[in-house]
Formats: sequence, structure tokens, C-alpha cells
Amino acid sequence: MSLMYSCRKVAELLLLAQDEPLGILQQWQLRMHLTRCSNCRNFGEQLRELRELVGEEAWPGLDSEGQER
Amino acid sequence: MSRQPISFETIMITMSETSDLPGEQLIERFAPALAELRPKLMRQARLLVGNPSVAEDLVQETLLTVFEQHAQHNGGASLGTWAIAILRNKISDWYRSPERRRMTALAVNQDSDPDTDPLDELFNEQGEHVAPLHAWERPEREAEQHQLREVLDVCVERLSGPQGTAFMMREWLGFETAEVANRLQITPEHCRMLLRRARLSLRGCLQVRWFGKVGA
Repeated sequence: MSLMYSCRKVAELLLLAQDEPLGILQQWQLRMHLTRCSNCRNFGEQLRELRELVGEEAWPGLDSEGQER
Repeated sequence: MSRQPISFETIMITMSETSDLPGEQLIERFAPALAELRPKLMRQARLLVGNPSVAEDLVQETLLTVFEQHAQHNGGASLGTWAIAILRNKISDWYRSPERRRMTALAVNQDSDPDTDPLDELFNEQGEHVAPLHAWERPEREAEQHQLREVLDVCVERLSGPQGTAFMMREWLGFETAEVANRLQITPEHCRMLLRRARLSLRGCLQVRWFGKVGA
């Protein structure tokens, strides 16, 4: 087995990392992969963006136009 | 929690008791906002709470709280943002209440592990991306932020019930994964599976319906 993770394995770990802490070795291997793979970096960023969007306090468009501030 | 439905009259009486404004002015001021907010709060509550009458109660209590405390609310968040924050607290409290514990578990276990893995669509057999993934650009204009929010709502509603519930508990209520599993009375493995599938589904939905379009 190769020491380098495949992109699919990395996606798996990025998904898991949203819900569970990863082990030290996994984190290190993940970082190694991400430094040289922009697709996987973007995938991770997208997951982060999704979390940010859903968790946002202010909801654009929740109040009708012109009402309140 | 009270099981009695809270009527519009109750809300109006509460409002008139808690404000210096005459009742008529209060109604004038709040009725349109109420009509506007209610369906949005209901939609959010239904995503998180399987039982429709419980969802209804939580929304009514939220609206009542909004009216009871409207005097304290000046500035800061908009009325809608404030109301949704109150609803979020009420749903969190409900999930942690003994009353919730007594209710039978949600139909979460119906969502068994399907055969297909959504990752199959993104990767070839060598585990490489089948197409390049691009970074998502958040819109700057307010009108587009509204649209993105609407797309997100549609995508969340397209999740299966248990996936949507688990995901929103995790991301919107901010529960730890272990607590989500505990409150839904499912195994941690099942919970992780639901969350994983929800994230992949939402990522794909947002990509197709929004980010893939605006970036193109």
C-alpha cells in the first residue's frame, strides 16, 4: 500500500473530519496530500463553506424587503 | 412545555400587556412580519422535528417570545434573524428535554445504508477526481446572497428526513456528533453515515444549482 492517500481516500477523511477528530498520522498524511492537490483542497474548502453557510446567524432574505433594517 | 395551542389572540393580548404602544398599533406593526416569518420558521422546525404538532408548538412559542420581548429588541439583528435564533434555542431545549426522551425515536433507522456511495460519482476506479473541482466563490451582492440562501434551503429540503434532521442538528443546532446520535437514538456509525451522505448531497446540490453556474 502506498504511503500517499488517493484523492478518494482524502475526500473520505475530509468528510469524516467534519464530525470526528482525526488521528495524528491521518492528519499528517492528509496535509501532505493537500499541499500538492488543489482539487482536494477545493473539496475541503467546499465542505467548510457549506458548514459556514448553514451555521450563519444572519439569514439573507429572511425579512421581507424594506421591513426592519 | 405547554401543549395548548397559542392563538393569535393570546399573542396580541401578550403584546398589548408588554408594551406601551396601544394594541392596534402593535398589531399593525407586527402582523405583517408575523405572516412573513411564520412559514419560514415552520419550514426550519419541520426539518428538525419529525412531529408536525411539536414543530407547530415550537414555532408558536417562538413567536410568542418574539412578541413578549420585542421591547428589548432594538437594533442589532433583524427581526427574522432574532426569531430564528430563538427558534434554534427552543429546538435545542426540546431535544434535550425529558419530554423528548419519552417520545418514540424518530423514524431515523428507516434510512438504512444504501448500496450506492455518492463518492462513486466524483472519483474513478483509481480514486482520482473525474473532473476538476473549483473553489466556491461567495456572492458579494445582497440579492445574490438571498438567492444562494434559497438554493441552500431547497437543497436541504431535498435531503431524506433522517439525513436532514441529523445534519441540521449537527450544523445548525451545533450539537456534537455523539449528541446527535444520542438524541436521535441511533448508533454513532449510523449517525456518521447520515452526516456524510448529507454533506455529499448538499455539496453536489449547491455545486449544480449555484456555484457551478455562477462560476461558469
